[in-house]
Amino acid sequence: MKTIDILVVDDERDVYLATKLAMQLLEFEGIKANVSYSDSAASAIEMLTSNDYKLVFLDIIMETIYAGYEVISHIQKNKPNSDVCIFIRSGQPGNIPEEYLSLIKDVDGYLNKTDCTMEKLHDIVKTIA
Amino acid sequence: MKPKLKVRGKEELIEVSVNDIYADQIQKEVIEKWQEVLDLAISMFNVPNALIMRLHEDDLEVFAKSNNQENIFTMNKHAAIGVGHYCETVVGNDEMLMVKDASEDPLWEGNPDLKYGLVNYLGLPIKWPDGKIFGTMCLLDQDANTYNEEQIELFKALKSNIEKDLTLLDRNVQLTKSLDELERTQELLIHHEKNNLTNQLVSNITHEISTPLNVAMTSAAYLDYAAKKMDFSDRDAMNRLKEGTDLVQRNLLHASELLSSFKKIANDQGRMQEENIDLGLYIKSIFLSSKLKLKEHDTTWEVDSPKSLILKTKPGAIAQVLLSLIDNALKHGFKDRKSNEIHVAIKDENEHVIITLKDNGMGYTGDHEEIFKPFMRHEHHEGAGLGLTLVKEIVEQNLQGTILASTNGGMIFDINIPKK
Repeated sequence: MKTIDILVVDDERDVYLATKLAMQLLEFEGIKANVSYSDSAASAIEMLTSNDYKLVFLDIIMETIYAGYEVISHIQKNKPNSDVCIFIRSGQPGNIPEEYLSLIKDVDGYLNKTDCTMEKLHDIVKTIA
Repeated sequence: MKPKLKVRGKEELIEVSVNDIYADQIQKEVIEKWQEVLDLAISMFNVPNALIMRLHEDDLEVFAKSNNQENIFTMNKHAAIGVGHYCETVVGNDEMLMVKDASEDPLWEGNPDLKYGLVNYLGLPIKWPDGKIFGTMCLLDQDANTYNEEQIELFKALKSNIEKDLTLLDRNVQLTKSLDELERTQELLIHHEKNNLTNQLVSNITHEISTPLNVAMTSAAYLDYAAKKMDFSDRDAMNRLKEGTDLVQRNLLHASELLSSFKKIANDQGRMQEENIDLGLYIKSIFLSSKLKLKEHDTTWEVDSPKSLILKTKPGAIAQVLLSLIDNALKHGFKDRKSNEIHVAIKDENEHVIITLKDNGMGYTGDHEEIFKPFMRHEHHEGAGLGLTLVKEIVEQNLQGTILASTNGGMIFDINIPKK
């Protein structure tokens, strides 16, 4: 069975819980997902420093309205060679503030919150794992 | 304004009503025309002084005069009232006054005009359409003189010519006023329509509601999937199912709470701040936010955009414009039609971005400039008829761009927005 370490960064704990449930079903397809959770950019940066995750689902609006971009910026500066996949999962996927424009190249995809089904989540993990 | 006049033959001063509101708006051209009328009068009646006097609170002003050298009066000169001028008697009695020779007449004793030897006078009151006083039109002569009936009729005709100009001015002012009022009403309506759009926008794409609904959906999908695959005698699996149902319940409750608070949020104005947006993604999210409406009108949509076209612009304005145009297509272009399509193409042209919205609806057969004018609508159209007026206003004022409409099968809107 393949193993994948996933970090869910979202100020709504239920988003993590639902993602974790969804990921458990991947066991039927031979993928064991270890899903960790962080509710802020600050704690996400801490967790990213001491762990290697393969996939991050990243909310943008948390402790500040652009908190999510701080996480990407950290990865770029401190782990430039990391092969972590970042998916932005936000309610307003179109809005990008100027100072974070340069970060976008490191983002692997956007998920519109209203449009992010379990099937989509599964597809993403299956491609990466 | 109520000037007090000394009227000959009356003991007490006579108070009259003067309309002074529009008098200052009488244009130079009109005064020049009056002067020509007075020029005509002196040659017809063979007198040296023909005047139009304007009555003020405390004095009479030479408002227009015949343009001959013999005329001893000075333009715009004011003479105090309450002293018994001929013109005071004309206005006070509200009737024509003819004085053949005032020099020997005790009635006119102390009349300042006599100091200049002006013993002969013919005058008529000039009034506004509401009956209030403007002043007089008069002829003055140093020689005793008399006017026959025909001359008096002519003089009256000249006077009514002057009064017609006052009527015109009055009408003009009233019209301008009602036009102003109309414009204010239109502004109010546009403001109202903007609020409406903001309401749609807020309730459509509010970020908060998407989270609980998505969690509930994902959890429900999990439950559905898990129910088929799981062993229900496994206690651990049952616990996870319970976790799933809890998530669904909790998040649906949260979503419904958010919904009830929407009414309040919806009253806020749409934000008009500049932000960097990925235009293609943003426009797609606008369509996504109108999903239900599009479905109701059997409408499919497509957005063609260059990848990651980042534009610094006002997302609120883009959303209002797109939502209005979508609304316009659904309500007007697609009325009672099936298999409808809206296609948006975004083109990046260095200095500009061109957004072209095309539908396969009924289009428009009239002048395409007209459709942006307020209250333009077909008999089968609903709404206040301000949607496209508002679109044009937002494109021009908030986005500093232009919008053009045309018909080729369906409606086509080309929006050109400059990049900054």
